[in-house]
Amino acid sequence: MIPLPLIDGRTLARVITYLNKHTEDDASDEAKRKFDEEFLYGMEVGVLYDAALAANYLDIGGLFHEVCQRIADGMMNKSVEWVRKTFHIESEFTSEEEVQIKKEYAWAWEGVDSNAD
Amino acid sequence: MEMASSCKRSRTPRPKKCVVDRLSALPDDILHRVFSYLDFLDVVRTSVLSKRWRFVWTSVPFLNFNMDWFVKHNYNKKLELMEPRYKFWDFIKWALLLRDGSQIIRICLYTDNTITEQLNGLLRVAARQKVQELCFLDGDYTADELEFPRVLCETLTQLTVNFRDTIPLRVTAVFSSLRSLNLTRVLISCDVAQKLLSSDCVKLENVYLEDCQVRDVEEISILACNLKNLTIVNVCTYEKFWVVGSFDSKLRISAPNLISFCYIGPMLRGFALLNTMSLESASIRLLRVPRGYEDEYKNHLLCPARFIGLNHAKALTLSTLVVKWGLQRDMLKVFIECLKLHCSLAYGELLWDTFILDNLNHLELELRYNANYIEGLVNLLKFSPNLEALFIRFKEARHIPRSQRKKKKAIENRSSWESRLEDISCLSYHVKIIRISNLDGTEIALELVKFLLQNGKVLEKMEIMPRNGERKQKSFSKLVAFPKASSKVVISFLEYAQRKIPWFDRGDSDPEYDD
Repeated sequence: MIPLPLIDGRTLARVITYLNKHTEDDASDEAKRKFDEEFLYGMEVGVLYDAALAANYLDIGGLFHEVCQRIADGMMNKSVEWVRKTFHIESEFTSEEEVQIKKEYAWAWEGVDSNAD
Repeated sequence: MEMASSCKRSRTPRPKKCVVDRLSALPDDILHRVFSYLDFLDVVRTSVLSKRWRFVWTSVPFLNFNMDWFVKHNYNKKLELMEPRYKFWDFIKWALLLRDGSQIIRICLYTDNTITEQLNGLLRVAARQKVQELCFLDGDYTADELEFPRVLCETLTQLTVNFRDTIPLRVTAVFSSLRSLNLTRVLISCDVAQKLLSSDCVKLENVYLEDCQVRDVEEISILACNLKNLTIVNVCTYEKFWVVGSFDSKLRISAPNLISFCYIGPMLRGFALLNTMSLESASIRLLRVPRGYEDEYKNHLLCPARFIGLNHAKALTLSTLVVKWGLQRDMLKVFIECLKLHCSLAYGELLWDTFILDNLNHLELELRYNANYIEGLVNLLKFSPNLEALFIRFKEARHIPRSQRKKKKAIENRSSWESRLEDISCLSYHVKIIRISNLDGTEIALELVKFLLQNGKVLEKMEIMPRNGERKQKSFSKLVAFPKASSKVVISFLEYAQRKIPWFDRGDSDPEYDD
């Protein structure tokens, strides 16, 4: 019995499913890619985070890469408002503070409308 | 693995549905990894999300900059062509300046417009920061050199330079830490080649060279002792067709740990592949054999003495020209004659044995519907006593211009071949699976199948992928009735997915009329 205090049972079960598929002798690369797509497509965002933490702790490169890529896909080229809404991020900044930060990093905010999506 | 403590910090009990901000609760190093998949523009902009995110971007060790992306997402109004590109470089400089000074592991830069002074500036910063992985992609032509400072040469573990148009490189020291090298359309001098590929590059394991040009040199030597994978694509691209090879000098490879080797390109003036005890797979696609090659190209790969370099491989993939020019009966006769002339008979016999492809158990070949090619295949089978799997692909028919069509008919009549009973070691004892793709219903095609069936004594699977549109032909029903030497063999017909013809197959490779 090897205790794993940082991962709960449900996440571990998913990780094991992933590993089983990827270490199968006669699974082709195509089959593995298909499996990855289906496996990750149905995952709720909350599960993604658990999977990321688990994969990082257990050092499972492939799964970690896939999960982080999925989280990144959710943030790619989205407006600040969209990201806040989707990931439920509470901003403690006042609107003046926000404008100030944007001014400080003006070189990263050129040509962007404040409410563009 | 210093995840433990930060993991504990983020393990708060959570409700079933995710309405809580768990993203912010992830530890920094996982966020860094997520950011490594994003363009740095998105990464910097996370600084306004909340207080927790204010400075995460300053320690991200993986930086991706994309000029196209930057211009598209920042500039809706039409501006002068160059201005957004200078703004892009400003963005990069600010981003690097305002970082917190932590280690940068990788910089990946897509720049469609090459401004060499800016690139060289970036290289100097990368040197100072001891960046480990560098990736420059997609730039266009420039006559100015890309210069790698000494410190950078010594700290880089991975280098990729893939430009759309040739760029000259200048390096000032041996790349002693480099593990992977990927260069496309790069112009190097002999000196540079040495700093990248010599025996001093002790960590070098993977090399991919495509369309690189080498100036002023008789012979390129690749001597990196830990090299495992080597791929050389030696063609110039010109509007989707290939043009004669970019480097015409000799190539000498001595890599005792080489596991896989792939060469795609025209025949070179000289070629030596030495010390290949650990070679597992080799793939040779010859794209052109010049007329009268026997005289000028004595030391080429296909010269029988050199073919020995491939004899340890377990898997071999060969294109039509290799089969045609390297494996015909007379070439092998010449080989034996050479040995008898130049060495004592005993030595000659020893060398003869080493020509046997003892380790080969997987062979992929490209053939044409012509007796010469089929004989080449039979010869190769004779020298592969332990072969278990054979994959044959018949080359796609080429478009024949009207003026040539009559001539072609005459040639086709010459190329008939009859099957025969022959005791070939691999067919009798080892070959279990044969797959033939793009097969049409002609005489010669059926004779080949007949040959394999009547001599394949332990054959288990014969998979045939007929050329599109030929499936229902009567000739295939004849095939099923051929005599079979193996009682276990199962003949199956599979769908042939028309392969996407790679650009290097569209050029003027092996003109058939040169017989």
